[in-house]
Amino acid sequence: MSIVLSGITAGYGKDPDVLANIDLEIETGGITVLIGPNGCGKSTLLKTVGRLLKTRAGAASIDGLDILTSPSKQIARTIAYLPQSPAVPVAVSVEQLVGYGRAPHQSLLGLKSAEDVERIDHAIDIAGIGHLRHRQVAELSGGQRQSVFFAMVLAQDTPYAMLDEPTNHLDLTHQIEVLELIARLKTEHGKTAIVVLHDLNLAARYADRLIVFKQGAIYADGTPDEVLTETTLSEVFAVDSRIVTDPVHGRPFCIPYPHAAAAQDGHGVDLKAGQERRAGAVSMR
Amino acid sequence: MPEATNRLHATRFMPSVVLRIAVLVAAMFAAALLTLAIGQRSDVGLGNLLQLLLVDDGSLARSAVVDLRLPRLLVAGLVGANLALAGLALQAVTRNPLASESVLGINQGAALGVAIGAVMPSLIIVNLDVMAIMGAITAGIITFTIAGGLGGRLDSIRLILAGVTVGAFSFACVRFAFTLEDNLARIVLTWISADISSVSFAQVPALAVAAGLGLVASLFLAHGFNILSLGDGASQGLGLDPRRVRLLGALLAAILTGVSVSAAGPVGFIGLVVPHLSRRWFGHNHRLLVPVVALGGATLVLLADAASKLVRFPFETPLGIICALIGAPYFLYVTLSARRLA
Amino acid sequence: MTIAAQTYSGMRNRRALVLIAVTLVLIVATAIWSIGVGAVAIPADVIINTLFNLDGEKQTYIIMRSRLPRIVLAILCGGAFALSGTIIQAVIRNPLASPGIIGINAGAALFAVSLVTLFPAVPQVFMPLAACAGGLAAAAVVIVTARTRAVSAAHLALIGVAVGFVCEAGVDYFLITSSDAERSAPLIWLTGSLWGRTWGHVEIALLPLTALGGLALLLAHRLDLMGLGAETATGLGIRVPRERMVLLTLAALLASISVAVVGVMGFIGLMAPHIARHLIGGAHRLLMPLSMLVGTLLVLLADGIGRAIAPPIEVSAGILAALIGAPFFVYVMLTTAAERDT
Repeated sequence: MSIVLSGITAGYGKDPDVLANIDLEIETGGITVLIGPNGCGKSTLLKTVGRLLKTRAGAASIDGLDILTSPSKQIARTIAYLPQSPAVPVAVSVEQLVGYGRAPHQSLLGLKSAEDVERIDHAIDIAGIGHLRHRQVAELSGGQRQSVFFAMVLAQDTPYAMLDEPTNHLDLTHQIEVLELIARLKTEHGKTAIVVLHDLNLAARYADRLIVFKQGAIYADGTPDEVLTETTLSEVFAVDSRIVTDPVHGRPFCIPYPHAAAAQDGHGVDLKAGQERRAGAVSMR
Repeated sequence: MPEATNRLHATRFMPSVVLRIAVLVAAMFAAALLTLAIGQRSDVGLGNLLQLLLVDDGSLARSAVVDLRLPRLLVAGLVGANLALAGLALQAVTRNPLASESVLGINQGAALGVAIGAVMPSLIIVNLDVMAIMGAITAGIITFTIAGGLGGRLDSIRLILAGVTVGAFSFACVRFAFTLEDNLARIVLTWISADISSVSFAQVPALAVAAGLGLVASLFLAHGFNILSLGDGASQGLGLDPRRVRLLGALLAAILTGVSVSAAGPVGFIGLVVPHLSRRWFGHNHRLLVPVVALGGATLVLLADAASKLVRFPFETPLGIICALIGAPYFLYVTLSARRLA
Repeated sequence: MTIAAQTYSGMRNRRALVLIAVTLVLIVATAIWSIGVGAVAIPADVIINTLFNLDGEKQTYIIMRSRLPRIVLAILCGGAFALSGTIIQAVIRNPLASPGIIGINAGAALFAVSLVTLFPAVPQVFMPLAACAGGLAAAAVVIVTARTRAVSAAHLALIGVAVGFVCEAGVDYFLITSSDAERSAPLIWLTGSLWGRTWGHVEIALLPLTALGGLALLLAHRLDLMGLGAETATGLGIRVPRERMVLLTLAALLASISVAVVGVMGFIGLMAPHIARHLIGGAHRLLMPLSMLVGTLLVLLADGIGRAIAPPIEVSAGILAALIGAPFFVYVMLTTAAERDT
């Protein structure tokens, strides 16, 4: 039981490849977080697995279902995908929107079964949006909307869920709220989550596995401790940094500084400290 | 760094820009000569054109060129320049490369104004031209209001669909006017197809003044248009009041369109095609675009006028029809070839 | 929790049932009133006697030969236009979309007008056929693009608008180059009228429209998912390009067949979904039937009023429907624009 990608190459329109020859296997259980600078291919990977983008080469399968040849509905019963900023339909209530998550489980006529109703209620409960149930989605704040779409993904009731920057444009409270929800999905419901995040420290705290992308290829792959190093930050994000330990969770926590090259212009930290850091990074390798 | 490269490009391509403008000016004069030479008279041709223009020999040919074709040439050229400048301003203030009088329902509103005047003469205010301008302004205001007002939230696709809806509504009413009486149908149809075959010198001064003022005002606004393209927030941050630029730009577009429509009728798509092509060949700097667009508009309408004499020779096809037959397929081409529009 | 939810959704269903019942009653009342008005006024009791074959005074000839077929067509086509508009608004994901947006009206007009002017020898009974073909041909450009290229819904709308402009330019060309006599038949038809419709027209439209309408109602819930945008819908197991193509084809067929029998009534497909959405919300399983009934009611009302205003002259139903609906439409647009601003 796993997601298996072999030799995936993908890109947009006539543009050059954004992802080149990616091999990756994601086992069930746990949270896999994809990080990397803008345009590195992490969102593209989700879109490819989510069938929004046709692969140029390679194959992908989820629990043995080939994503190109299997019926779309069957895949939608296996893996859910929440895009970065989902469109908000007009004049639709929270309950209705969450109910749309049941679509892949329904027949051509789309009639709701007793199980559908139960799943919808359950999803609304878990996401903690019972009080918003009859409100119009379009009237809600950004954080509330995100919870509603999250509940829709829950109602879809798939073993895997892909979330593209679910904390985007949210304030700190809602960011933590969303990530705690994802953690609960893993621990209480045994789901597998694949999440794109920008905040390295939140990524390190919630990820069981951290995959770093650089220019369309996987640069590093492992636990946050293995991956989030000063070398990685220097080579992938072009910043110098200190990695400390989060006093509560024991996860790595990075504090970035401008790159040494910038430091020479007088904008950054002093050179000596930078040299020390790099020496430290090498020894850690 | 990218800014520096841009500047480098600008300086390096300067001679080529001058060359391209020179080509454009030459094209305009060629189009002018062509439209002067074409017509039903066999005794006027490219060969004796200059002589007919300069020497008053009292012949009918001279009279045809100076009294009929010359005013028509001036009207066509000036209308082209005005409409193209109006289109440029509309596109800048809406930040939408597809905005123009015909797409925003303004031309159709003008036609409805004329139709109302023709059906119910008691409602006419001043004359049919004023009715046209009022119809144009009303349609424009309704379009902008439906699309969300001139505030910064003008949604680009909503603006176009609002314009198309207002235009379709106006046209449905105009078509209804057609069905009432054949005679009426002829008046309205002639007017909305922008037939300029019977214009005179009397229409030239207003158009020329508008073109001159429009050119100067556009040049003054060009910097504002450039900054406006960055968005309202950024414009405000750069010390430019986006609402003021937008209001002035819309006002300029309204005046230029109104004057042109009252002189020639609703000539569609010039305001769409010319700025679009100009941006393709000259880039996005409005300071350069303003003169280019004015020249290009004049050239295109002169060519269209020449075509209007040729398409069904010896009969004339009204200018508005020719421009729609050129402009609408161009619009389709743009939407089909663009990878991302909205 | 569950109980509360069920009562709520029960409440919504009850509200929908009440609304549908009220609309149905209004439709029957309007239909009976509408049978009575016109060049020859018929009192209600005579109408009821005739329709239900009761004893007493009857007016079989006018009612059965002239008025009843119109009423049936109004019901059929009003519903079809509304269903088509609802589908297109959901697929394009824009409240300003309508069958006209994907070029159906303009395409139908182009084929009908060119048939009359280019092939005057062809009998005019073929005009509806040409119109239907034209509507489908214009929509085909949009439908094929929707299938073959991954463009956004808004981009699709722009392509449809462009196709519409090209067809309009062609219509204007044919209108200006044709004579008055050639012009009048297509023009009357273009404004959308039920004048002179017979049981023959009903026979043509009845089967396809009821079949397609039934299919549309069955597929209603699939429109909900299209409203979430291509990305989310794909995640929920919808093959978006194929789904768009199927739904747009269905909408194009409904609208084109209706255009063929009653002419262009562009605004029913735009306004009926809005009125219905205002009453019942955006879930399509309830919205679609209500929207269909509202469309029916609008066309019935427009047709009746058109005959009642100044008998024996008739004002075409397409125009009146637009005039009745326009203020409401502008109101909806203004309130939704205000919502977006907050």
